Amino acid sequence: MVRLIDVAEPQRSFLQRMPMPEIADTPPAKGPALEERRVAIVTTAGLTTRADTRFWMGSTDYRVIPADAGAGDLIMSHASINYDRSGFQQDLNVVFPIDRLKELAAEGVIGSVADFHYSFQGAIDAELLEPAAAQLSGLLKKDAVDAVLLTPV
Amino acid sequence: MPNDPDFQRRVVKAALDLLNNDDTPVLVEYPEEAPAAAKGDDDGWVCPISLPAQVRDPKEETITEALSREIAELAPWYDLAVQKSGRTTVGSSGFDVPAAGEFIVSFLSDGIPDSPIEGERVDRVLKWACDDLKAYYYEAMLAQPGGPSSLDLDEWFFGQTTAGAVFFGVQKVLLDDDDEINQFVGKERLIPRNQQYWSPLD
Repeated sequence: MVRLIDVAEPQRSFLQRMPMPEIADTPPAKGPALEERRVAIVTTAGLTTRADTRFWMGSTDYRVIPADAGAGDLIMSHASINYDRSGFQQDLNVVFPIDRLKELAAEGVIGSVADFHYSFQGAIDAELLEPAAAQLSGLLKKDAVDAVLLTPV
Repeated sequence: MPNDPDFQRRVVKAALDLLNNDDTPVLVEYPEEAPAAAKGDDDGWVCPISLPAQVRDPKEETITEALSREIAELAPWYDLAVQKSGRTTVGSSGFDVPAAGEFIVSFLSDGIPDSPIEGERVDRVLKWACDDLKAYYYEAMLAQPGGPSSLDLDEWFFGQTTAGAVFFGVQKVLLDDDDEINQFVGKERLIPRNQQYWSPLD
């Protein structure tokens, strides 16, 4: 996570003024050991495959990213222009660490990598994403996913 | 941290290890600094490509011609970037880069055109074309030695390139339009907040 002190003005002040939600100090639900878990990525980077519908302002839905989608098949249509895309431009794994997950699965650190991953678009009130997130949880269960790596962008 | 798989793997592993934690708190500090931040290199960056003046002489070269020339001058570096990384992030609009440039700069001479994509508002197509043009410029620069930061790239693009000047011109066209969505896109979807100070409107 980027430190606030490293964010240039006026974006730093903008972020400092944003109201932050209260995060309950609740541990995650118990599950199998990490080496047995099937992991999916859920990102808010506004990623789509080249064939999929682009994101736009106020998009509250998600896009499906198959695990075998090539790095060259993923583009970013996030409506915000105020965050750094140069990391994504150099390396997909900065926002969507699919190669790292596959390596951890090959090493036995995690059980397996899900067949499908998902992208929302951030820069929106999280409560507006709740209906799509609830639907998504059902899809994740069907894919036998029991751990999600969230990459907030 | 791009292109540093070892660092990325440590970060991802640390995040996933939190699932083994039965106790609170579940939000913990990750103590390792990103390698670039730890290095503390703040020497500044100078664009290694010598781009000619934004418009050589308004009598001899229009801004449309200047943008086309600039895009062509960056092509070898962009091609190198694609060759090195095996991918590009250009592609949101469906235009190739010269066509994206022509579409964007047409706002300056012809005003707001009809949408070139059936069923899509023209402001959306404009935003995606602008994303593509910026990605093309940034990927070309990132292929060069010297490691520009995101802020270096923004300062260069919006302060020194013809493309940046075109963005500010299009912003004015949108802000002057009667359509509230076009005004919003002009205000919030073309120029990052940290580059707005280059605007000739300020």
